[in-house]
Amino acid sequence: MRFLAFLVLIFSFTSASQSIAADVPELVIYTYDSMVAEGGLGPKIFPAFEKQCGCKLIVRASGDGEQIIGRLQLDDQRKKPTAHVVLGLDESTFDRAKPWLDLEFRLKKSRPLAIDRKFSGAFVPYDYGYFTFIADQETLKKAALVAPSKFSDLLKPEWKRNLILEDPRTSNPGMAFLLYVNQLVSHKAFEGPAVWESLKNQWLTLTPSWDSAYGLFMRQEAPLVWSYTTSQAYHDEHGGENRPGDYRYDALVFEEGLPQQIEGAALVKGISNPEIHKIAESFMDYLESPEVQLQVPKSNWMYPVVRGTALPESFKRVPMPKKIIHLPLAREEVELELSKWVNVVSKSSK
Amino acid sequence: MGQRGLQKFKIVVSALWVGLFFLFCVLIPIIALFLKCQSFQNMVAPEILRVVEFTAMQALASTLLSAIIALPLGLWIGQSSRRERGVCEFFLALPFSVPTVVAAMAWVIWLGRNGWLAQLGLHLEWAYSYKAVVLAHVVFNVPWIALWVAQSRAFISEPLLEAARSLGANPLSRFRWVLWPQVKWSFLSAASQTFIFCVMSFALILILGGGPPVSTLETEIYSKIRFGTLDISGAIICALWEMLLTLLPWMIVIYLQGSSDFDRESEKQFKVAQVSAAEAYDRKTTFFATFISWRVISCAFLAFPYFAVVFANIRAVFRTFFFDAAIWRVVLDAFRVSGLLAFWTCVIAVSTAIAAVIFLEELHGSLKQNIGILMGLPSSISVLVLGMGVWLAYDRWIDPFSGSLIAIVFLQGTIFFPIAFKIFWPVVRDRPQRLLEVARSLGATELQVFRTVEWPRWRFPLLSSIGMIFAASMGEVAAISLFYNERLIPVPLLIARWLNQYHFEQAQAVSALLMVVCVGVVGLCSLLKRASL
Repeated sequence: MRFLAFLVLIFSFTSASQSIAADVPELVIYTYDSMVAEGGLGPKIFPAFEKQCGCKLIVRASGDGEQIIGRLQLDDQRKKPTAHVVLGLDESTFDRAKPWLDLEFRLKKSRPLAIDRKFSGAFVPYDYGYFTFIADQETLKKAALVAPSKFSDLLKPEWKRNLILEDPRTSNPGMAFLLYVNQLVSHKAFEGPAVWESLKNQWLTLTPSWDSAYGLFMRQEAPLVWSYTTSQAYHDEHGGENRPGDYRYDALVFEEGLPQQIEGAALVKGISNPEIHKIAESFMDYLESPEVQLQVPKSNWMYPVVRGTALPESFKRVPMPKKIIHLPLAREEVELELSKWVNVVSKSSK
Repeated sequence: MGQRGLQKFKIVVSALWVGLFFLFCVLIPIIALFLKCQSFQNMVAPEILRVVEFTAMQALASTLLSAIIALPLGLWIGQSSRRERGVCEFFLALPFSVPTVVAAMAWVIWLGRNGWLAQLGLHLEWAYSYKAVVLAHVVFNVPWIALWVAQSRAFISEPLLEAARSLGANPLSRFRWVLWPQVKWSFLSAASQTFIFCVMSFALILILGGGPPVSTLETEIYSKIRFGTLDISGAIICALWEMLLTLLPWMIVIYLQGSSDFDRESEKQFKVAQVSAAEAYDRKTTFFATFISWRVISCAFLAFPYFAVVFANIRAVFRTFFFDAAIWRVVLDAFRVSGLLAFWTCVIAVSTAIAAVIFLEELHGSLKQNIGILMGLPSSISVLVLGMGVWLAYDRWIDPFSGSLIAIVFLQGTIFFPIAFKIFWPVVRDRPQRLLEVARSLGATELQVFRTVEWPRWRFPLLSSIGMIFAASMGEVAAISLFYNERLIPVPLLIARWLNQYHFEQAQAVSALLMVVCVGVVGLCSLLKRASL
């Protein structure tokens, strides 16, 4: 009986504790899951900001960057905007989230950036990285393969069922891969338009998310996985098997170039409370401060966006692409590319 | 309050309970979704029909193969001694305690290109294809059908079969005239449930299917809801097709059962006579014969693949839990949240199922049949779709983004309620009215009648449903992914987060632990069942 009463107490406490009013102003942030997880960037930067602003951050995380848009869209449908700041958009998701964002917002003082890109001022970048294939030298050796230097090499028969990719319908890296390949075709880096017909024989599986893909890669299911160049830095720091002179995991840099991902934050449209607006503005500024930027590499496994930020040793070995492939951002174009892709891959037999 | 008054009170309360539950947890969310659906034009779009066709074909293939294997297996197990059957039933129930994500991981360990079979020189190349999906479905569902068939077969007395044999009936005739009439409803119900499981299969398709063209309605719903721009209309269209596919076999079985209701009473009398005969005939077996028999080995073989997750990750478990003390706090917190969720989910699902069967018992004819079909409805709606409906319907009161334990519990309770309902329904349907009347006429109070006649019949189904729902809730991801917050991090979410942060070893260790806990829950329920015999 006591146990039951205890459970009832917990049950009611969990739901009721939401409503405990706080005297301090509250800034609500939407972000993705790994930002707030233990070891992620969030726990390292949020408490310091709370001290600095004398406010409370209410951080609501769900899934990945794509799902943040879903949240904004639902808020709009409910006519009940909740968040003040969205943290973890990339350029593509920012473009799609525009109807719900404050596009007039500008940082009062922007810092010099490490990337050569022009942004709408409403998008405040805090880190960036490059998508690429990570190679497992041990699995390559077993399959008697050598890491390719050109993307077009991956279409050769020896790479059949040797790539692990993510599904573009459910994963951000997967979508980047789709757009990257289509950009390479349009740049005439290799022969199209039957590229997807050839590529679909090359992947072993299309996983629903990056983590599923990387999990299979770590199980040595295939020698190459579509990930980030900075995954290599992670292995250098933690892999155990990545030792100087005997690196097992390497990021591939293709002659054709690599797509870039820039992550940033934006203010949500319609913040009516001036005090909250001010806090939101200072949070955006805080993202480019050294306190945050120095934490980025080993927490988010991305490059800090502010020029001159010191990098850990493991990041210095990560190869930089010679050429950056800019991916299309317009929502209509992305959706068109996706539906064409679905048509091609759905027809094949497996 | 007299007996009649008490009966009326029971019916009114149960009808209200079930009615309100369905209204708030199923109907209002679905209506909210329909109101948001802008167009139904794509219902017959070629790309949707392609997915519908694939979903139906893979479910049909998986169900047929499962049924072909499970029927003889169930009949074989059903003729064993009660102790041996108990051990077999424990193994057959185990797969339902395994979270599907963990089951998918297990199949990767077996079938993967670097999997155990490949390392043994058997390069099947089945992983990430249609074949892997069907194989995983078959191994997952054979125990379910076999379990139901075995339980029905156990009611058939050996003297009856011996009599048929001595009258010259060959094995086929004995099956046709003695066995089949007694096991057919259990078999068909379990097979229809298998078809539903396969239509709604999600994690196995996502992980083992290898992506398009191996995609089902459930994975389509996931991609439509999950992708940045919510395609609610698209998700609803897929959900409609899914409901159609899942309700169809369930309706067919219910109507077939309804049309043969005329022989229900005689069948019941026959069963009572048989049970006593079967019990009297029960053979005494030694400990050795009970645990190491071909039947037990066959059943254990069907549960064995999932233990790959534990065996393959022993090193990970060891390194994670023995060398990293700080991790215990995080893991225990997650298990505490999962346990709390599972406990309340059991309370909601089981109590609603009890109310539903009490209410349904009082109905007659087609109304009874139709409401019976309606009770199966929640299991044929995607959790993702139902969750979206809850978001849209109750957004004034529940902020989906601030997390809600109540929403998760009710959502899980809604989807798991049909499991308990299907287990409880035969208990009420086959109530021993004569025994109850005798007890009452001998002066027993309602409480005494319940304790001596009803409770022994309810004990096993209650424990079975609690075990299954508790374990299923521990591994459920979809409802959690819609309504969690920072204070509500259950085990599946912790696994997903660690995978996102390159912590693959820790995630695998926790998956193995989750598997052990879920199996432990089912094992404990099984032991309690045995102990109460």
